[in-house]
Amino acid sequence: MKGWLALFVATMGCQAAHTEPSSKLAQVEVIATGVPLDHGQLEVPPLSRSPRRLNADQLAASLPVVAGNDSKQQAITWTVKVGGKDVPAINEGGVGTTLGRPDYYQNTQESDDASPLYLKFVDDMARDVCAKMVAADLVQKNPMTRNLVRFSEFSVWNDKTAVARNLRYLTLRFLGRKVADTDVASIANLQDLYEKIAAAQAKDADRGKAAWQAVCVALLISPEFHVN
Amino acid sequence: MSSIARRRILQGLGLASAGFLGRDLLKSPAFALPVDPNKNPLLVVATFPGGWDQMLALDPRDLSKTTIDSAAQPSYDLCVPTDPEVQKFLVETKGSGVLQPVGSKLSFGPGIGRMAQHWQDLCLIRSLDMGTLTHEVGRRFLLTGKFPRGLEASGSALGTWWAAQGGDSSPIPNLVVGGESYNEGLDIFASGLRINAAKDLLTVLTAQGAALPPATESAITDYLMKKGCGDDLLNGDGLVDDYLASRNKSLLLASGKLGVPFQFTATPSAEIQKLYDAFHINSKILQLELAGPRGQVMLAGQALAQGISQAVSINVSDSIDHHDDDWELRHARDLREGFNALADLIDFLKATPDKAGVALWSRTTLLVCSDFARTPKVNARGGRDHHLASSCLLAGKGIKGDTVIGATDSGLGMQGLDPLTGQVDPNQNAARPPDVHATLLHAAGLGYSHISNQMPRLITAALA
Repeated sequence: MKGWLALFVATMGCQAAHTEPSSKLAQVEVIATGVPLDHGQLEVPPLSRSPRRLNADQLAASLPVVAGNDSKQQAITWTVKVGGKDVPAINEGGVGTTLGRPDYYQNTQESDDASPLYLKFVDDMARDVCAKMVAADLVQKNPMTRNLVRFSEFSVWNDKTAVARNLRYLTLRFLGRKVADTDVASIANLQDLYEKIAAAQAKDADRGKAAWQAVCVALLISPEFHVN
Repeated sequence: MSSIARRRILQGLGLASAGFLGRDLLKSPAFALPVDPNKNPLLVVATFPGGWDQMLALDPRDLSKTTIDSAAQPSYDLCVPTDPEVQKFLVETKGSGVLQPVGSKLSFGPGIGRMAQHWQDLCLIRSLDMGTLTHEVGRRFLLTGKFPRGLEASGSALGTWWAAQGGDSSPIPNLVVGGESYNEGLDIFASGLRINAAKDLLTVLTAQGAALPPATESAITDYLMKKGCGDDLLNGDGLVDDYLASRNKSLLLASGKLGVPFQFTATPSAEIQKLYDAFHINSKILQLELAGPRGQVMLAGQALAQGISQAVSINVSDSIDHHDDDWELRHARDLREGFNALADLIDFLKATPDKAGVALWSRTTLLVCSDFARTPKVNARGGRDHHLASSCLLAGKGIKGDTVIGATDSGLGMQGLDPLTGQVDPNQNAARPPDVHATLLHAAGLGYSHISNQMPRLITAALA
């Protein structure tokens, strides 16, 4: 109960100007029953700290969540070849230390600079992960089990409505940003990218695959993915 | 009017000749000048991580005059059974363990190796007050010239300032191999590009393995540069701008042939073989060599010679934090191998002309340092613990060679320094890392106002 009260007080702190404290106290029990409250329109609070780049561990943890599983139900992640074998890239055997993960021997602090080295690895990572996502989706007949092209089809590359729906879904999946169905502006740049790549392919059969792979790479490279 | 003179005038006036617009005005040093990149001063910071035994290198004691009551005991003889080079050194120095090259004011211990041959270029600062016995604090104090906040580094690293003042004029202005680097408020181009080994540099300088078609690459870059609404929200402190600038740089670095001079293989090209020879690299054990001091120093030399970097920071040994009998087994050897590699670097830079035909060494400043020193007596476990009074070695552009600044007392205790004469002065403070930073930057014609809150003293006795 104490915890709920603390949570309640913290939550109400953002709204103090809008509601009388006495009426809020009456809502404590409502929260405790687990009934969700609709707060309605809220002002976005100012950022409480400077944005920072993901650290190596955060990046390693994010990738399987975003990329989902492959056709063998193995989590998709970034791998590199070490001694002829694929190993997870963001560990000591891969490029984890080079990415800045401290070894607590000579380095005890992780650099969070958005350095050219980090960006070089981000490019490599995005190409690797997106190629795997496309390969996994291509063998999934049921769209709802796909991770990348869930609301569209590789073969139906020019269905604008389906493409827009899938772009909204990917923006939420990759960047955690929900784009309303009526919001066209927020996906306009991605849609341009999709159409440009699809149009550039010589064969119809390649258009959807190339375009969705490019969208995937663009989202995984985008600053919004790496800065929080 | 020389560029250095102009820089000093502008520095005095607080003017910036570049970056008047936007955040550049806030981030660039006020004294940055667009100097000719082919004339920019170069920097090598070489660190022995872990804390070094000064008596084995830069602040030796005469073993033959040491008694059981002596406050400082060099104990070189303890290293003899496992290190024949120390035995050889003791024979050459008639049992003292102190080498003073003929005609030189400098003296060295058995760990100095071939570096002693460069005595005419070297300036030793003894009795350097590190103010800490904690590794991270000492290391970061030396890196930034500012005493850390707790363990957290304060300010930007010397290499970062060096690169920031030189401008974004080389592919990787500030290269950091195997160590730490800090950038507090300076432009992203000056941030140390941290790598662990030569292969990492090759990775940065080589195109992506699974490249997409050029049209796709170009379309993705166009998309990123448009910046979405999320980017605007996250662009506090210009982080998204820095991110995009770094991506463009990473694409640029990987698009050319900059990696070719760093293709260190067991079957090298003639050019790379020449490099191996200059740094005594044994290509039969190449991976071991590349991870060791010779490989690190070779990488630094090549980065400067190829115009890839303006400032390079390297570790010239593995950790030498030898509290136990590893001090007897390894300390002198580790120091000697590091100093030998640095001696090769000086030779290499003296023999390598820049684009104007002038030896690179004439533009280069070298700082050799460690976290702090080690105790004057060997402990019960056969090692040495942490000690405050350290030393450092300076050489290169604007530095007066064959010079000793300051001195420790008979027990390796700290003594004050008169920065004008370089002599001991009990009424003044001992030299500190900010003094070293100020002196190096000034000697290279660069500003040091960023460490003014550390009250730096210019050690004019060290200036040529």
